[in-house]
Amino acid sequence: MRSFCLFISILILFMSCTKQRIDAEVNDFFYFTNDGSDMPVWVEGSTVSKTMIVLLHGGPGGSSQYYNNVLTSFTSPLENDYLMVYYDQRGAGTSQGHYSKSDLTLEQFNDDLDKLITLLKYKYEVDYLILMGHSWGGLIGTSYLLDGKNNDRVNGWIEIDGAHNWFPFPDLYNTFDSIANQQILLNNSVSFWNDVLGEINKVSDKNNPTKLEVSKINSLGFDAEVVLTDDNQIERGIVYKNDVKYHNLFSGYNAITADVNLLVTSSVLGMFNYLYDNKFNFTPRVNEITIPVMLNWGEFDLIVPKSIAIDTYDNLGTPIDKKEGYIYKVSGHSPMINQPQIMVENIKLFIEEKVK
Amino acid sequence: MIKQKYLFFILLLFCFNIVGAQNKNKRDTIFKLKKNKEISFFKQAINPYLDYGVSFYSHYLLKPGFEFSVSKNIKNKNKEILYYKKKKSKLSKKNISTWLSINNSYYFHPQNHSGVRLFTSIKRKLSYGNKLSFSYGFTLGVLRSFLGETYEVTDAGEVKELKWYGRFYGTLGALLDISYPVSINNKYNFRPFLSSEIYSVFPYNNFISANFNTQLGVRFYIKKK
Repeated sequence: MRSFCLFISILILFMSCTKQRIDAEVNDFFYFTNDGSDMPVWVEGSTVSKTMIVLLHGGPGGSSQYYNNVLTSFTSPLENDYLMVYYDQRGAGTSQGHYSKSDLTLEQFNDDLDKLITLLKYKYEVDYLILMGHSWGGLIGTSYLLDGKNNDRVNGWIEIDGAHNWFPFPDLYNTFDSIANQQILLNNSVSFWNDVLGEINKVSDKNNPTKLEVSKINSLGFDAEVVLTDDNQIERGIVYKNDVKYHNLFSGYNAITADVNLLVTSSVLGMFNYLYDNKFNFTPRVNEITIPVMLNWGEFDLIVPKSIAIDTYDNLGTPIDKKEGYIYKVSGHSPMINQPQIMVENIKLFIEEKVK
Repeated sequence: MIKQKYLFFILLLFCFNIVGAQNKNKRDTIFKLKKNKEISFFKQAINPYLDYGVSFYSHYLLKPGFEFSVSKNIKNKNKEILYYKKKKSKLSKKNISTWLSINNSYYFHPQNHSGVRLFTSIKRKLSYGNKLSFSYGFTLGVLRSFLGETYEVTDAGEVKELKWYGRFYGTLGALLDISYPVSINNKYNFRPFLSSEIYSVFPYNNFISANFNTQLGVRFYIKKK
């Protein structure tokens, strides 16, 4: 009995001497539930600068974990300086719950984001909260900021090839046409680009393509990016294969759920008809956004053409000394894959000089 | 209130097992009947009336869990075929049986969801002599997910932490199973098995999701005196 008491005393003494965790590094996970959807949230990075970046992933139906655990060459350097928030939107990644198709609206996505920001501000002490949206995330972020009150809740907006003009026609066809002709002149994958031109010429009304034509040009955009990468027009970028394996096997990620979510949410079972019918275009309204804004676009973006970035930059309500625009010359729709280092440097510069 | 609901649910799961186990009284009579009439050339241990299973349950590759099952043999059919090969005859004994099971599985998948699943399965088992058995079948059940730390923000902006948060889903799946008896006699038998199941979870978000699991375990039958 005496030796047992001695052991317990030593144990208590040892535990009381254990070094306290320094809260500069955060690695938190929790769920956030709203209107039928349970959305996973990962908060990772440094709290020292009291600056939080909330990442709005692509899609609809993508996954924040792709950015967090696979595109580590992009997100890890940001986590060194800032607190990164990755969350899977409703119907995306490993989010779950019960809701109807009619709950997959932009208003609902904005409400989810608004409540998540409330929760983040409640849980963490931050001086600066910045939104960063890629592709579909650009549509959510822009529409969120266009709700007047939300300009005050967010300190900065970083948009990466954002689809805030979801129906970029005929601009997208013109971009395809221009890049195809340029590549044919360079003698790069000539047969592929001739096929592309053939497909474009089949479209009867380039201002108002049908659902099938929109779907086809979208898929052709991703195919073209692979061809451009093989022809060394786009930087291949760094995606660590071991990261992908680790991510799929050992993390909380469930690739089957994430793939089914992507398939359902991005298709006619999910949001495609809603997006096509509404043809969201927020470019004419970006003058209502007055907070610091950074636009990042790939030169070879064949999903959301760079002409949208140029129009947006010109129309923003943000003062000239508080906005930045970058076109990444050897990038496609995802410059954070193709040119992560330079993009991270630009983002840090923007936050330190324009936001703070 | 939520905690009470959870406790009630756990109690319900255990009740299912107890109810299954209480059928043992009937077992001997029916079993003997089957033995005499239908499976005369098989050792009785192949198809007992009730058997139990316990297994390590691997949810989505490497996420651990475990499962308990109670299975009831509801139908038996024997086939005996005499083959002639190079002047030698060989008797092939094949038994096709149908089983109804109640299963409880528990799995831990942090950062996705952990879950408790209660489901029934109906399986057809093909047994060759006293050796290898193959089964295939369908499952139907209920899944209760557990998400861990979960927050909700009201329209008024109030933050609430929800305890024991999760949801109920339906599950529908298909399974394949292989087992091999290592110890058979009239009193007990142990059959290690390897099984794999793919199942849909519904309604999941606004449609369905899919999942799979692999199980390595043992089914056993112990005859009471």
